[in-house]
Amino acid sequence: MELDDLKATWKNSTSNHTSTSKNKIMELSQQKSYGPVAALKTALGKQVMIIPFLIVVLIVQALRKPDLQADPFFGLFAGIIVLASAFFVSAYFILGNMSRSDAPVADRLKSQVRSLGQLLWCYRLVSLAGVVMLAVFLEVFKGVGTARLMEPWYEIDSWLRWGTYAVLLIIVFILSRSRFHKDFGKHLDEIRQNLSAIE
Amino acid sequence: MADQQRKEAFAEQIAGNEALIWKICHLYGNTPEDRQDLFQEIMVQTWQSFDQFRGEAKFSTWVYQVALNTAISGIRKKRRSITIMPQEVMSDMADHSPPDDEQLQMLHKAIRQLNGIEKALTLLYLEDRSYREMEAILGISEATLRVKMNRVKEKLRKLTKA
Repeated sequence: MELDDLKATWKNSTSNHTSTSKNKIMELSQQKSYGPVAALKTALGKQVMIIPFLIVVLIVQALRKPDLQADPFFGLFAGIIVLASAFFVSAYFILGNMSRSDAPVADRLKSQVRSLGQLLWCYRLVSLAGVVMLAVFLEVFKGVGTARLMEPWYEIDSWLRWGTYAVLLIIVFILSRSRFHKDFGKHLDEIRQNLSAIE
Repeated sequence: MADQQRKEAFAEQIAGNEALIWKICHLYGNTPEDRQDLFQEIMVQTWQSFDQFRGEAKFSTWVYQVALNTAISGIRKKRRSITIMPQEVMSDMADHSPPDDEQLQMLHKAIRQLNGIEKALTLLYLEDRSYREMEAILGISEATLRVKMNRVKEKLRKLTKA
């Protein structure tokens, strides 16, 4: 069977189609998207809810116990909020770039691979920065403020403590990758597969 | 009012290109539900991008871009089992069952075995789109498209013989 021989039959096959009414087209266009970008937006939308909650906790604690403001861990908490907010802002712009679907197919595939890579990079960077901040605060502010509650931790040999921080970093690195891969790995693999079919 | 006019203009344009959208849905969706989901997602994506259509290219070229992008990378394979579209909307949609022609059915079966890009290429070729237009839609150079098209033809020949 030759493809060229079927061109006419293929084109005529449209004549059997009945059409969807314009009202239904309008109705369908207003439905919710179930594409990967929408899924990412939903997932991030759920996570972003934690920010106002954390800010409220931070303010309430600061008002209730003014001396807390001098506690380094209060700074750590605030730093984590800033980090998380930075991630959500970056994700917002990355998702904005991914949303456009009126570009040539090859360009869109490349842009999606790039955007998902950026998103993973941001996610991983923020997670790792959180662990580094925790380690720095624990080690720099020994015996100050809330760190006083960690007294047994400082009794452990410093090599073991630093080793634990390193292991924690590796775990977070792996977890951030596997979590992302679980959610979007299959989709990313499919995009890469299609991209390799182009190149 | 302006929004309603925009919606009507959109529906008007889509109605004129509906057949080509369904052809894409047929090639990329394996089940009737997949096709209807894909059709709906294409409607959502075209509507969301409608503001960006400046009329520099033909509307059909633009629709091909959005629809193929949605079919290739804009829809997640793993879907929930619940119906995403209200039943009354689905039942009012056009009946787009597979073609009766035996040769066309065989062709559809063979095309479904191709990868996403090859499917797009075959569709555009069957629709008699010029290589220049294919380049604009797919973002692949004309020379590469010609080479790929020859390979796809060979692949389809083998698939329909098997």
